[in-house]
Amino acid sequence: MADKDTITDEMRSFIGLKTDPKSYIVEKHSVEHFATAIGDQNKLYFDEEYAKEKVGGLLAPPTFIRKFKPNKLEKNFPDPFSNLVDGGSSYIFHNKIFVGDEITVVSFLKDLFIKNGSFGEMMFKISHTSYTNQHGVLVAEQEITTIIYGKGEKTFLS
Amino acid sequence: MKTNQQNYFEEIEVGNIIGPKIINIDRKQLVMYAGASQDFNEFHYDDEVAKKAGHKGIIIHGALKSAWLAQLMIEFVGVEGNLRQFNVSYRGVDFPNENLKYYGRIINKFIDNSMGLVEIELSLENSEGKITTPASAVVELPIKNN
Repeated sequence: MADKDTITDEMRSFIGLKTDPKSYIVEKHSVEHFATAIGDQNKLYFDEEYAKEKVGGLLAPPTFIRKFKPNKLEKNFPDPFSNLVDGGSSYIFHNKIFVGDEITVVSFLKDLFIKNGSFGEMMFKISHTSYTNQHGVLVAEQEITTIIYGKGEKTFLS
Repeated sequence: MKTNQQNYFEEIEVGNIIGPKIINIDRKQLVMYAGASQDFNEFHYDDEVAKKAGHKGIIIHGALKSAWLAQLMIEFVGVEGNLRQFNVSYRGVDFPNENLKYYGRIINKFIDNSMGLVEIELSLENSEGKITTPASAVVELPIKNN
């Protein structure tokens, strides 16, 4: 019942809509900044000689790709709530991601449902994102659960 | 288990613990992560916005916690292994300037297509010992006698 009330046909129409592909270069200094920000000093991200010898080149940390945001759809999703929390992620890593790679990102909304929890009525948005490198190889997939809730002043960026 | 030299599939036993590691970060680290990850949601660095969203103060990016757990896995698999799957669930928020503890536990190992696969249950606990961030991973470890 709650689903019917809160999830409109317009919201449902977003399910399955793919974003236009957006491509990013995995830049050396961007990887260094990211690794430093997570407190990771692994030489595979910093030491070119070492990384080349061990794995064939400098790598990006697994969750680095998350910063490669997909394009937005033409229309904004009509968020019915004011607050947002990140519910979690499921990653599949198919191949290593190297510094210098060009990664193309495509995302779509996979599912939408309502649950009642500690913040009252909450909307769960499940999105799927694929990351493909310059050789056309799918390197990773991420499924993100975003939870929105509350009726106050909006506190997140869309 | 070792996280500073290569682990092999044969050496791993169900029940082995990876870690634990303790981390305690400050606001500056959250700002660094915001910049490095391009997540500029203000509840990660502005207490007023965090309070409006119902928290006691600024909260740690869920994705930063996942980065620490993924890092633990990358150190565990070494240069010859691979992280294949990684699931993380943010059940509770965490705050800077608190001791957070995270670790992994081997729950299964098996050989598939001549690859040594290991399933790991991961946990991140807040300073009260509550698991705020359960996670799991499937990793590939090299087999010594391959």
